[in-house]
Amino acid sequence: MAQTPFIEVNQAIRDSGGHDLNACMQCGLCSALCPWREVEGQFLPRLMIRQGQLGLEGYESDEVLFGCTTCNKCVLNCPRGVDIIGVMRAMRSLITQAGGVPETLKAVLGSVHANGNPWSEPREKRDQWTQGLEVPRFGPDKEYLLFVCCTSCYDQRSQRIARSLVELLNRAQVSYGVLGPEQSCCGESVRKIGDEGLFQKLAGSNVELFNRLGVKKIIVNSPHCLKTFRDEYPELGGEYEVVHASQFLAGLAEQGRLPLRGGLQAKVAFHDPCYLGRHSGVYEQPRKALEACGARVVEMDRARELSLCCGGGGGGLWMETPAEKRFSLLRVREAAASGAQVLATACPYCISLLEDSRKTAGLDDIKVLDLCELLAQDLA
Amino acid sequence: MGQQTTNTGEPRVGVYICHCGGNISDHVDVERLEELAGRLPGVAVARRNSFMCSDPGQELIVRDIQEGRVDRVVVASCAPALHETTFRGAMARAGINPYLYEHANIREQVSWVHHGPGATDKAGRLVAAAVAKASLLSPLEPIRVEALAHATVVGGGPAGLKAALDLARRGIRVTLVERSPFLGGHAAGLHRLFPSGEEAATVLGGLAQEVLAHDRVEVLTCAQVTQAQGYVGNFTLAITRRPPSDERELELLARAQGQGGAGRWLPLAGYWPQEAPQEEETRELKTGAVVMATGFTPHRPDQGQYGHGQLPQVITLPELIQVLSQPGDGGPLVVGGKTINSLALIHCVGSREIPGVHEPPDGRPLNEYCSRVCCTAALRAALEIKERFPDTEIYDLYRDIRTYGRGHEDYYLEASRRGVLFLRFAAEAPPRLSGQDGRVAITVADTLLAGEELELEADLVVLAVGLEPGPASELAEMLKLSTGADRFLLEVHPKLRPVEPAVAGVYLAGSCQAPMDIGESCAAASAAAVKAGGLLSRGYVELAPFVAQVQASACDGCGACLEACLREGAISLNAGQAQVNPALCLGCGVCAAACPQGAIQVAGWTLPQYQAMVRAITQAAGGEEAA
Repeated sequence: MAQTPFIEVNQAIRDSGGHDLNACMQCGLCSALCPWREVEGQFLPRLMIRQGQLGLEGYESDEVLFGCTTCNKCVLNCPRGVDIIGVMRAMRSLITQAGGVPETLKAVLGSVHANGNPWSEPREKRDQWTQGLEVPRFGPDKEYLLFVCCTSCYDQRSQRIARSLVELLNRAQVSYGVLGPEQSCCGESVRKIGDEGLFQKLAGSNVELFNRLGVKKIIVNSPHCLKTFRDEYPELGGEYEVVHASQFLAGLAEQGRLPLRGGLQAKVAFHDPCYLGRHSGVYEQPRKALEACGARVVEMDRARELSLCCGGGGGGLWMETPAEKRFSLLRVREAAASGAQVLATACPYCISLLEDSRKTAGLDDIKVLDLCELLAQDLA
Repeated sequence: MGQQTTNTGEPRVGVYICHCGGNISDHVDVERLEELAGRLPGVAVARRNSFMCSDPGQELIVRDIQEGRVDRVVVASCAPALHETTFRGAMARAGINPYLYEHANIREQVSWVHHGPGATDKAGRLVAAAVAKASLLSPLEPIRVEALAHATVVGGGPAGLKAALDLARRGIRVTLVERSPFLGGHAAGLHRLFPSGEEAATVLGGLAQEVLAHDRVEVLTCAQVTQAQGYVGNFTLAITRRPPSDERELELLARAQGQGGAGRWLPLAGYWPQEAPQEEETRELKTGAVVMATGFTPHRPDQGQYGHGQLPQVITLPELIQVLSQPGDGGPLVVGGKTINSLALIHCVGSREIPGVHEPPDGRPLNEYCSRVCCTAALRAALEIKERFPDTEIYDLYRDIRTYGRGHEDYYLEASRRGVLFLRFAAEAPPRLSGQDGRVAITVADTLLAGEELELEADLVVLAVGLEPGPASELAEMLKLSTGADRFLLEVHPKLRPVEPAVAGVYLAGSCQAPMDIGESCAAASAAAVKAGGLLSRGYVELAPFVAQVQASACDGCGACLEACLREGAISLNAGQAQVNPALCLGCGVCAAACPQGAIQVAGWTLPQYQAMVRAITQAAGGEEAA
């Protein structure tokens, strides 16, 4: 049965943020580069864009519409420079508006809406991760706001990243402070899931809060917050100097402000998080920081711009992907094959998924650690 | 060049064997070959070198000649096409006639195809044959013919205008012959030109005025070359001017005459330089070179092809461009009185046709080539529509988009960005059209959706028609120009001699040779002008001396050679004897084979020379008769 193109849908996608929809010439490089090819996934960016161009159905299943992990590999390589993630986001937003969100993501959005975090945890408990630590409050006398990712606020494993980071900042006598329960999720994943309204609400409240408190500089431990604050908040009136912990710590180490022993003495492979690497172009500083604590940095087959996504972006962290179809499983095996004893990274999502897959793969000889943890362990 | 004849005494042949850096010496025993060559009768010197074409290699030849050891040369090396002229040049530098030379190809014909002892044996035979022939060679002189410093450019489109102007600026007198009453060719029917977006009137009108203002150019419109004779440097053409009879031309002229006289640009027609003749007139034109700028013919869709000729909503791209050349009134696009809210472009109409897939109804030959200009022209038009009439939906039905030229891809990208929807069909499954309530229903299987069929509706369908070979087949035949399988005029070599057909003194400019855009046509035209100018500015032409010669005492005037001759005018009978026009003779030797008296021979390739070669080849390398 022949179909008829539905141009109004094309227009709606463009109006919802998929400005580049029609600029795609259907070469298919995106589909070829997509990490889903490694696990025989159903998601084909080219085909989904094609269906969007013609306003045709066929991309509404969870595996396709919510397949994109926004890893940015296709965008960086697109010969037409198409903002493919923008198109995906716009297509999701049309379906999201109609209620077509996977159940697990519905819970995430509901929690963010009610609690300001995706983990269905009460807002009041946001700073429970600081228990037993000396963590200053942000105020006018503080140079930096430390914005800790929701995941590192609530998830036990991830809290260790935040705790390591404050330990390092304290030892380096950095002028910083954190906010309490009044801060909300940065909204990065919310926006990628397609709930533009909720994103606007979250971002608006954060911008209002930051501006009221006179925030100028922000340190983040998640590259997702980095990208959002840096690239997306300015359009809402929030202009800040944003730096990721890995960049900041590399700077401290270089200036000699961190009393490191250089005692790690292990082979360490660094997994470039998509939002730190391909989205932000930060590749060298994390490796410098690893060397500062004595690591022998080894590279996996796919490093820097070619890094393999862990699968956590674009809502992927909360999707129910079968264990054997997770990119993170391929990634931990790749790390083991590189001979590394430690798989280091610098993103709470990556840590979460890589650690999970490490257990699935039964790789007991390799540790998955955040850069902050490695540096904190090496403090004299 | 001080030449000495070598009629005194025995010939002294020098044989020079090239190793070609191992290309030859890895498979041919060159030491043994040198030894064998040295024993051949007539050989004074046999030598070897790693690279005979190198300066030290050539120096061996020069020294042997200058020191009197050698008076004729055989080089055994690569194919003569590569270095024969190199070694002849060395002989000329050393002061002897360069035609006392024979070449043995022991690379392509031996070491690259034979290995083992057989290779050396064959090389020995080829060298022996070359030596045998060299001993019988006589000095020859190149044939020099006068060349008229005048060129005729046939065709007044962009290429013809450009070639005429370039030639005139080089000091060559030019006659430009244009079939229609107007200058500018098909390009004059365009509105804006890619990739600059300039108006055709500005670009071509300006060029035409420059040509007309040049005092070395004579422009003849309504004119055709009706006869062509002669040879490089000395062609005689008949130019016939006729009153126009084409209906469209008459209509354009009638309209133009109501608004004033000749000497201005007429929209969609071109530059109108002069009044058309009232009566047919033919004159003779003597010219040194002919530049073919005869252009192309737009493909005319077959009856029923994509509904053409059946559905009134189906037009061609040139027709759409003419509509777009009219200023709009701020409203929507209107074609033929109808408002166009949606249109579909179909690419590759009459181009890239595939045997077994496409079958033209009237048995016309398939156009298997890509017409190269239609993609960009179609996208330029689509983009203009999106800019001027932004609410128009445009579907672009294509097989492949080939916007290859500088700046062309920008049209593709910008058309995409502006919302032109591209649908890709396979050659085997072209879009199907049918009329529906004044609109056209289109069914197309989109390969980008794995062949899923889509149904569209459009108010207008535009066929991006290709370019077909131009209208000059009669002239091409008169000039003996050959065409490729695509029926366009053919060059000798696509890279090394790109604007020269096999006939000396004729040059190819623009889309008579292949589909080209205006920029490419002008580039080809300038190249043709430089080649023609280089030929004519010396005042004479030198031709290779390998042409037929008649031994007057033996010729009985039977005319067998004349009958056998392939080239009209090359042999004539004069006072009961055959006479050769060396400028026309192809040197093919058919006459020599036909002559019952053996009275006609090709210089440099005489029968006794052939016989000597055959005898040498059939002797074994050691001198024994082969089995």
